[in-house]
Amino acid sequence: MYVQKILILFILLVSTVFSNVQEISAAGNSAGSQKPLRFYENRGGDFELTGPDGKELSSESFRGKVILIYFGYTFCPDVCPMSLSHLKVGMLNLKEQAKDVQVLFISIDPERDTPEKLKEYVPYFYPTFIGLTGSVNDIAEVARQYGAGYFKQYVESVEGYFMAHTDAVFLVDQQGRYRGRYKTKWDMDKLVADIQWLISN
Amino acid sequence: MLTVLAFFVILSGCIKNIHQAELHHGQTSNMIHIHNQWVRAVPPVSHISAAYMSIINHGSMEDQLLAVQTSAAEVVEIHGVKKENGMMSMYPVKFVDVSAGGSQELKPGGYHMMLIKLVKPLKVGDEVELTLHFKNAGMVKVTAPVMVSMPKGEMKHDTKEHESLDHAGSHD
Repeated sequence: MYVQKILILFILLVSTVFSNVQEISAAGNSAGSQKPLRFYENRGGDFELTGPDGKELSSESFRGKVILIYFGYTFCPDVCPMSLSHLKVGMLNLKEQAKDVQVLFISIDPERDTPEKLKEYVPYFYPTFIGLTGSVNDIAEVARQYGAGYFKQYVESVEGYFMAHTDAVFLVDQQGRYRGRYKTKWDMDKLVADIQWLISN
Repeated sequence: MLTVLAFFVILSGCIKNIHQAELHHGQTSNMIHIHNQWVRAVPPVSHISAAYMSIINHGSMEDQLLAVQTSAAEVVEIHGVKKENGMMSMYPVKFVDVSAGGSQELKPGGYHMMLIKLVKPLKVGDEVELTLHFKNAGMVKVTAPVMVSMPKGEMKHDTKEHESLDHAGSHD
């Protein structure tokens, strides 16, 4: 009886300490004591693709802004809308700093994703989000630069084919340099903190 | 004599029908429970969306979700999601198992009902009626609201994500 009570108290004590330790380390990770973001030698880089109005749009035109790149497609019913929603939440959490961030949704299904389709699809998630498309080769080149993979999947579906693709958002700084890669499902808090760090440094 | 025979034939037919109706009703209301159902709101230009929910099987028999229909879309397919070489890909499934006394989650990044060729654009606040066909429980009808993101209070293991989505919820 006595032993049981001590055991219960011990477990309560350990779990309290453990959860406090987690909170402290999480607080430590916020902007104040943040480590500088690293640079990546051979990843990323500028590109030129077709914007929502059918004209060529260069990544250089976003100098001075933090860029978030997501490779997806509009015929995606699950993962892409989910990730775009997560990015929207990130923009809302950034508050006034959201104007210094540009989200680019690059289509890995350029055969079906026309500029007009992207123009109507992408801003639905957040008004400043921009969709880009291009030739199959140009898209392949940009995806390769950023380390994003994708492939066509013909499946037993009314849809004909789906695209399997890397579900990640790539962080590019205000000088157009690749600074990191994040999962929208798990890393949004860290991504927001890293964006804030880039903006304040 | 013939009248008496006819009477009994009709009576037995009625009893059989009542029994089946009771069984059907009893099975659907007692065994399969659906909750946290929702349909994702998508841009008006999109012809495809997804429905998610938790399926709980209170029965002592394993069950399977075989098909889904809705007036909101021409076709509903059930798909799973897997990671292949670091890439997310979908695969159609012919049924989804729900073990006896167990549950199955249909959620973003996992199993989902794909609503294909939406009859009209989905608007936040709309209600979509879905008819689920189970192997044992039969037909189960459920109404799912159209939402921008997952219903609050749904996340069991993602407390961090829950906090961030909470923020979005108030802006929707």
